Amino acid sequence: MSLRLIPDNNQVSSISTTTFGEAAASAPGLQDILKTGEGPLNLASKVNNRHPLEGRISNWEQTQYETRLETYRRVFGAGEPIKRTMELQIIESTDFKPSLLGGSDPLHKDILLNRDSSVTWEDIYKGGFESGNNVKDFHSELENKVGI
Amino acid sequence: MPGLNFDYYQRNQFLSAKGFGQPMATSTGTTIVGCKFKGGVVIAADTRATAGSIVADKNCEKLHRLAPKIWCAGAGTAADTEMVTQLIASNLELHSLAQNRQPRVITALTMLKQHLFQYQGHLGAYLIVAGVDPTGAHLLSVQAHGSTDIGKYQSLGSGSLAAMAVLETNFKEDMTKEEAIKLCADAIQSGIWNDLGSGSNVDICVMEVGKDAELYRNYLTPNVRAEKARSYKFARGTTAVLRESVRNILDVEETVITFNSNDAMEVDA
Repeated sequence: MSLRLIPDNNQVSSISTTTFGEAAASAPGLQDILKTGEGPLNLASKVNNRHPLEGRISNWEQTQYETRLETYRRVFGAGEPIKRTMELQIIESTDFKPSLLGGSDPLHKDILLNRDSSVTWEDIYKGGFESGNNVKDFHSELENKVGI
Repeated sequence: MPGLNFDYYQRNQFLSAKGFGQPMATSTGTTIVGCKFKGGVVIAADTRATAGSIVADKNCEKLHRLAPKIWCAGAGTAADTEMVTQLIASNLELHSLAQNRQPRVITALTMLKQHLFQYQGHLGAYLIVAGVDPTGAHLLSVQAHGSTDIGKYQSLGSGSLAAMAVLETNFKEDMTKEEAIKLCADAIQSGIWNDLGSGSNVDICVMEVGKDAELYRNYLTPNVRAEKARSYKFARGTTAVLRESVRNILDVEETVITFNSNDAMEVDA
C-alpha cells in the first residue's frame, strides 16, 4: 500500500508471446494476425527503445487514482475505496458500445472520477476508430467483455 | 493510444540514425517580460518566431489569453506554448463555471505546473503568467519542467538577459501604469536589438485591478521594412502580345423556358 505521485518504472523483465496480443487459435505461439489485421508483431519494438515518457503518461491517471484511494483508506477506513471501486465497476459492467461506433459514453465515469469539468489530451485526441486506428471488431470485444 | 501519441518515436530514432534529421520545431526564441505596478501588472513580448536560423513568423502573437483578466506570455516551442495555454484556458473556464467564481492566477499556475511536470519538460513551454483576480494582481512564471517563480518583474526567453538588464536598472516599487508600460517596452526593445532570436515588434498587455485587460498588439513597431528605392512594377504594354486564340471550354446553349401562369405555384411540375 504505497502513496505514489509518479508512476513506477514499468519496464518488463520478461514477456511471453501473448503479452501484446491474443494468441492465434491455430498457432498458439503467435499473435492472431487475421483478427488484428496489423501484420507480424515485433516483440522487441514493443519492449525496447520506447520513449521515456510513454510509460509515465499511460500510467499517470491510474497512479493518481490509486494514491487517492489509498489516502481515503487511511483517513476514512477501508469502506471508502471499496465503495468507490464498486461504483466504477458497476458502470464498467453495464455500459457497452462497440469501439467501432465510438466506444461507450464516458459521462458516468467522468462524474465518478471528477473529470466532468476538465479537458485533457485524451478528450481531444481520442485515439479510437475515428482517428484511423485499428480497433477490435465487435465480436472479439463482446467476447472479451462477457468473458467467453 | 489516446492522448499525445508516442507511436512514431522509434521510427524517428531510426530515421535520425540514417541521416534524415527531424524537422526543426518552430521555436519562439523570444524576449518576454512582466512587471508589476501600483494597482496592476503588465506583460510584454516580441513577435519573432524562428525555425532554426530562419525567421518563421515576423509578427506572431506570443501573448495568450487564459481568462479575460489572466494573460500569459510564452517562450520555447511555439506549438507547445500555444496548445498548453489553450488547454489550460479551457480547464480554467470550466473550473470557474463549476465553482461559480472568477478564475484566479494561482489556479492557472497550478494547472500549468502540474501539467508540465507530468510531461517532464518534453513540452517546451516557458510561460510568464499574469493577471488580476479577486485577491489582487499577480505576476508568476513557469518553466518547462514545472518549477514556478513569483516576482515583481520577470523575464524569460533567449533575450531574457538583455531584458533583465533593463529591468534591474530601471525597476522601482509602485510605478504608475505609464512608467511600467515604458519599462516593459524598453526591456523588450533591448531584447529585439541585442538577441538574434527576438525581433520585429512589441506586444503589450495591461491588466489593472477593477478594469478590463487591455491588449496592445504591435504597440511599438521599430522594424518596419524600408520603402523600396524604385517602383518595380511593369507598365502595361511592356510585354508584346504576338498571337491570341480563345477556345470555349463549355458549349453555351441558350433556351427559353416559359412558366404557365396557372400552375406557377406548383412545387413538383
